[in-house]
Amino acid sequence: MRDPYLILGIPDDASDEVVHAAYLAAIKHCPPDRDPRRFADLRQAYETLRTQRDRLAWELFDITPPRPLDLLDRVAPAGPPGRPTLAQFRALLLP
Amino acid sequence: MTKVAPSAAQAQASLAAGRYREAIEQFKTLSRAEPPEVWREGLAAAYRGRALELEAKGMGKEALTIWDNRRQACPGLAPDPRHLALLLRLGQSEAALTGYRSLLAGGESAALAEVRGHFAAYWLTEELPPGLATDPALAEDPLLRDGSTARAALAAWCAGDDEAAAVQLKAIPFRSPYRDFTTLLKALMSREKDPIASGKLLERVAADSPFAPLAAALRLSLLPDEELLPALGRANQPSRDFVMSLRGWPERRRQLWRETQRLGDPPDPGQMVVLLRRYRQCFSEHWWHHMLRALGFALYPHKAPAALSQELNDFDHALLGTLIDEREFPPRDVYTFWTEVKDLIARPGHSPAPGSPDALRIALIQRRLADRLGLLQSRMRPMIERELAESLELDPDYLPGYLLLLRHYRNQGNLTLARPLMERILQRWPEDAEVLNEALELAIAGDAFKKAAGLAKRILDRDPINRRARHNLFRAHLAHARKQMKRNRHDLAHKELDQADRWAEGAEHQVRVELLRGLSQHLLGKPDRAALQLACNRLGGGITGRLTLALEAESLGFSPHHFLQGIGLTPIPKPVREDLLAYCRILRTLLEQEDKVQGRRLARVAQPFQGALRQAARLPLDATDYETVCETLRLAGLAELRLEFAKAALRRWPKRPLFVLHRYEAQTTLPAPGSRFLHDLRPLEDALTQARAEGDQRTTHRLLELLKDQSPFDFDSEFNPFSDFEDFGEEDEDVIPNDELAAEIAKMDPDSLLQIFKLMLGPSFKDLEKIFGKDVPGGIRRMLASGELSDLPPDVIEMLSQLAGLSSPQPNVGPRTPSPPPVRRQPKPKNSAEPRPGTASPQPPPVPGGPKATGPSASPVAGQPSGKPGRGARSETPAPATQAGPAPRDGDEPGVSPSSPQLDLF
Repeated sequence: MRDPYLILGIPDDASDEVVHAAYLAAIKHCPPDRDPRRFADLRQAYETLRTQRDRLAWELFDITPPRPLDLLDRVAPAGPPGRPTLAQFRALLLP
Repeated sequence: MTKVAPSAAQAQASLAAGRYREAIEQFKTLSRAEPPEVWREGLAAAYRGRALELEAKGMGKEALTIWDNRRQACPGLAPDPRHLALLLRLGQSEAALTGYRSLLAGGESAALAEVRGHFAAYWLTEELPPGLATDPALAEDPLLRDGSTARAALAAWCAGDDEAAAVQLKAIPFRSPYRDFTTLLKALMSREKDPIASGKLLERVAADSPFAPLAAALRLSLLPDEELLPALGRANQPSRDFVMSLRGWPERRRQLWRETQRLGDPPDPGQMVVLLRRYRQCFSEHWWHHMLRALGFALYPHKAPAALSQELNDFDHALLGTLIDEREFPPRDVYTFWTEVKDLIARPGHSPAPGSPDALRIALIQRRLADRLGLLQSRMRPMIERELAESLELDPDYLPGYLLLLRHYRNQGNLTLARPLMERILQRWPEDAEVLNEALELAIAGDAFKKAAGLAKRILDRDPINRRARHNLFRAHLAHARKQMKRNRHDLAHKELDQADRWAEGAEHQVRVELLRGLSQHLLGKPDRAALQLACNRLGGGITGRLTLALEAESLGFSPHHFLQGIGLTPIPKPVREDLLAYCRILRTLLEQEDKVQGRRLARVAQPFQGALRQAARLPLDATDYETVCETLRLAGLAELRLEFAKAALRRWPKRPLFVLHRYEAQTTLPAPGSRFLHDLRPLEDALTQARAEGDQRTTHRLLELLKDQSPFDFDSEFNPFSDFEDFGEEDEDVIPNDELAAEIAKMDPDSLLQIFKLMLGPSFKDLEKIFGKDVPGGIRRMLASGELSDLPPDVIEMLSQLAGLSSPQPNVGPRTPSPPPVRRQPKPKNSAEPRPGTASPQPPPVPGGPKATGPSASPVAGQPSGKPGRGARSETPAPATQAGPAPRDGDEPGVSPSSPQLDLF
């Protein structure tokens, strides 16, 4: 599993309430019928971080090494979706 | 020698086979012999094939030359759409436009429509040539007519004006060369809000469409994050830039992505450490240390980069070492390692405040020892029980922690401890359905049936469909009925059975009620053999049905064998596979529910089934079946049968570690005829090696435990399975070479050797005396003479020969070519001053009893990096508690060594 904090988009010191609110907001945008895979990831991340005890357990026992995506999201998170330029369209259509 | 002219058939065959160069030559030769018009079509096709072939290889200019050759060699042919597309791609739009006009003059055609698509993709982003827009010949051409609208739509979308873009798109007719573009722009517009709809729109664009690259990039942009990253690596640069822009990637992310691409797939953990370190300031302290440990774990058993060693603090070292070791070390060592970690979280004797993060961490470790690592089922049980009890004080709000200990007490039959704990839980969670169900099961276990029924009704009042409560209530009534039958109160028993019938779910429950009714009649002296036989059949027949009957009969005081004989259910038939597995399921259920009675009771109940089960060992079972049966028989303590099944399994899967384990474990619990020392251990060691290689941690643990029991030597104290990791690239200086060992042995007199043997074997030496009497050397001499010890390594034979007073090893030590004995590495001495490869010089020895670096105020998890390079995970850690080993605790099991294998990880 990816870094659950990044999946839920919450800081490392998030409280129970923050975790819960982030989960509810995420599944509102991504209900299980629309994207079951994403929903499963959200659910798993939520279960991993739900309480302080869960978060401490993850920190103590989890041995999943960071993935490149975790690194990207921590160091340089993606911004809001953008619009390619005409030049990028041109480069794509006229290689 | 004259060249033979090719035939038309040969040229056509070359063309059909895709041998275009050959076909071109053949058609050209034919054209020289006959009128060229006859062969023009074939020659043009051969040129086309060759041009496309070159284009596919990325040789655009060479392909263009072939197209030009085709035009010259086959005058009068209409321009090929692919030729014009290539001209556009290579920037020769004027030449392409000339070809387009030529096609246009020929009227509407499929080729013209295809060329229009290419021009549409081209002019969507390129400036039109001067004068083209006002060319009257093209005034009605859809290429120009819809082009300005399409360009306006694209510009509006790029500027973020979706509404204007949508208006423009509506003005483009369906049959337009911009149709695919229209579809793609719609997909782009819906991408964020409805990616599924966007994906469906993309399916409408054909793979050979001039707009296909745009569709492919858009498809890429719809991938979830984790799939996108590797897919971007496979995409071309324009697609990457396009997608990264769409996904809002800032320049820093793009640059970092390029760096992560160099880590490999999957990413190399060592490289990842180096990369992470460059961005250290972006990470929280918690995440940084967590990831360092995770990467250290992933790196094991390979050498860790210096960057990792430098960043790990004491707590990281201890925790990482323990997470690695817990997979393979025996329970008592695992317990010691985790104790070290706990002692780094809070000093021994300084319990953190209940519910505080440090308290929760310690409680989590305690529960992990009990539950995840299964130490509650090991010989460490008393200590783990204490740990679990302590975890309730540290983490008093965690119900599953209480239930873990409660269930353990109940399964152990320790109701004296279970009852007050249950009261404590009920006071804290009086209305919790799970708690009430646990209370109900505890009441049944304590034969408090009325209390159980009361609790069940309390649950069912709130939750009438609570299946667990219904089932438990059924069990309570059945158990109460049995109790009444034993008291000869059959009237009351039948009332209980009526109640049980009310809560029965399914046919099996009903048969159980009927069975007890039948047994009641049996006790009253009115046996109904037919009814009991029917019940047996309805309970599965074979050994399964008979076992259920035997269990019920035994619980009422009947001898199972005589009872089955009395109702005509003997001899017991040889079971088939399904029957055998069902029998095992019943046994396991019984063992889970009624641990406290298993020994005596199972011995009585299983006795009539021994013969049938022994025959069943020869059934064509698969490996999983054998595992299930052996494990069940182990739990049931039926060693003789377990040995039969393990041997049968080993005949089919020789040397499979789990079956080797079952075989030897079963053997050791039987009265052992003859020595089980030394010569029996080699297969176990081989099995251990194999289990480790296969990553079978559970079997590895169990084999280690068995070897510790059986080996006269302290099996693990000198043998460090991680020595390769620890001593990576380092000469092992502490191992005595075999020839030196043999020479040392040769110098000793038998009495000295005997004393060494006594010291080494400890209490086990008495076992040798039981076998050989007081003349142990004589016994060993006899075994050497008979060749029974021929499997042993030569140096051990030498030692035994000396002990037995023989001048030299027996010549007939065995047919095998003696192999070098296994080299066991000595543990590195603590506080070794010698630096490990890849680490800097070690820390000076710590001051015993000195202040701890961590504690409640400085949580070790968030602690500062030690900043002291080259600190070992265990042996060189300066933490006093670690250095001195965990402080002795009340009731620590004798023999639990705090100085279990001490490792340097990095």
